[in-house]
Amino acid sequence: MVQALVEEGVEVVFGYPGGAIMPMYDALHVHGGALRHILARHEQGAAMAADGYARVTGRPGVCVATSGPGATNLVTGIAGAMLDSIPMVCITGQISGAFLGSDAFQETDIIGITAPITKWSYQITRAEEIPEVFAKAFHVARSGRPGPVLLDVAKDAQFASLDFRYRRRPPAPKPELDLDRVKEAARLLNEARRPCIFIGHGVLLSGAQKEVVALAEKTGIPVGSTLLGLSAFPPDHPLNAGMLGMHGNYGVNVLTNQADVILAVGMRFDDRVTGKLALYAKQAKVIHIEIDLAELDKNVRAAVALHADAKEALQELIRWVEPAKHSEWLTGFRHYDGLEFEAVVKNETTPAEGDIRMAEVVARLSEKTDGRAIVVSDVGQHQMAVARYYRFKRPNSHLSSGGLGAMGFGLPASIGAQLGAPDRQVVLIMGDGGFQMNIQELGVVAQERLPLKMILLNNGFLGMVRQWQEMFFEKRYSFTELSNPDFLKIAGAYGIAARRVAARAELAGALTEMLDADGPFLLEVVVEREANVFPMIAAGSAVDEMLLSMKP
Amino acid sequence: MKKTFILSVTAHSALRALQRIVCLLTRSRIDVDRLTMAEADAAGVSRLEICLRVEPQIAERTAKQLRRVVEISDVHIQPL
Repeated sequence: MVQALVEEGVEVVFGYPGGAIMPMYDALHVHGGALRHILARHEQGAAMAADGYARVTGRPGVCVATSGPGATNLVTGIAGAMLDSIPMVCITGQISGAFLGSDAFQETDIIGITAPITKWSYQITRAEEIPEVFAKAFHVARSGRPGPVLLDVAKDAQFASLDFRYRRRPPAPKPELDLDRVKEAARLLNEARRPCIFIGHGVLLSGAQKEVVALAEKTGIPVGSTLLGLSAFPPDHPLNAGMLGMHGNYGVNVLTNQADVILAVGMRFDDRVTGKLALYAKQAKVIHIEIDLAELDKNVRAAVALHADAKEALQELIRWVEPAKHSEWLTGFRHYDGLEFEAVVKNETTPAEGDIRMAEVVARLSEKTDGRAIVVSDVGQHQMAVARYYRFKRPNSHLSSGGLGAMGFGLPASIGAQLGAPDRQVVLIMGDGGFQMNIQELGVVAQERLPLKMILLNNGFLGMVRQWQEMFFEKRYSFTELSNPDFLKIAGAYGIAARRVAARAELAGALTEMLDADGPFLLEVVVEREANVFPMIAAGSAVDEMLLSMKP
Repeated sequence: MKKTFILSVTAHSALRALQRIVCLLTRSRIDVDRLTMAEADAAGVSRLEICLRVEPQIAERTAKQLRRVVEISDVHIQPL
């Protein structure tokens, strides 16, 4: 198994040992140096670190756990990778083949448990299966729309010896491009008067950033991005229309319902993007470029459905579109940008008084790092602050649990990111709720001396749930207030440098101190307790009913 | 409006395919009237036939999702 990982070019594995995976761990020991093993402090941390590693490197992340609780603890990490199309190979130990089905110690049917959240899974009961099945696992994880696979390996198969011959399998060929449909898409774009381009994670997965810029510039079409598409399009580009969806930008959401043609690339019209589907872009002709056939016509009917790799489709499409400008249409976006700036952005990023706001921390960090860091967020209000106010200048630099929205993702994912990109500045931004969901992973940061910078935005609340309680449950704050520990002492116990800031005047200096630190650093910023994220498309509302502030 | 469809699936590992088919059907709360699985042929290929009652767009979605299953090589769906 270790040899198979080496054959696949794997350099780092994240894991946690236990009874049924001990033969593999013994091989890791005996062949020490073949692979770098990172000991998580909980299997969920191993899975999410492998996810973060994959997001940054583009290569499958590998995690290892034992049977039973080890395997079930991976589940949330696997589910997140499935929804966000992250290539991962998860290896679990299993009790020996003869005892399967007998409720043996630490036996769980992990193949059954993970069937709905894996792209593929397989139980190995004979050592001879290992080379072929591992090669297939990496092949499936990487091919088409990437995703997690799980290999469950019985303990006796791990002990047995075999005649090892390994044949790597290249990723599956890309879908064949339908030229007639590309030309039809070009015709729609050439005739459009109010067109939009919407980009998603698929643009980053296929490496089509340059093609998106080229197409947008040739056609003069503004570009909106999903949460997971962020960092694919330059933030300062005049055609950047910002983020789509619930807490995205005002103009691009409202004007979605005025567009006549929408070119959607590598995105899946998730409900957090569309709001009320029955009132979403009904007037628009949609061109949908997507590598996963099952996403075409799923939520939004496409006038032209292009089952294709984003990069290949855009390269061809650029040849057929005519140069254009849409000055009047773009003026509309600027008008809404102005409204959003006055109503929200100005006071969020440069408030004159009051408690520190999440957005201003992100904005100052963005300035100090020139938008060039890898920024990992957890889930909640701060996640939206990162998405809205960090100006990502390098691709594959925004890591966020998008589809699953799994609190606890941030710390382990940032560990994986730092290991996948050791030469880059990696900054984690998290809330006090999410931090405590995987706080034990500080042990990994300390043990590996990762130069990870961690910003804790502490408002003493589960802020996003509290915001919904305020808006939709008449301020009944049901179990959203937290009585927190002294986080500096926790960092101190792990030997991690830390500082707390509550005054605006100290914020810039504290950020500099953190960024300049050699090793890991935890910066706790005490932020406004009951702040709300706006703009917002309330659940059940249409995109053009986006709110700029609380309804009176 | 729910309609009756016949879903025909070709799979090279029948039981593992069946597990994923059942996951997809239960997830979307699709009613199943009948399910038959034929013995695998010499090459290990099995055929499954499933009679469903479901809204047409959910039938279309499910057929596409089934095509993603690695063990499944072919999916046909037609109204009864």
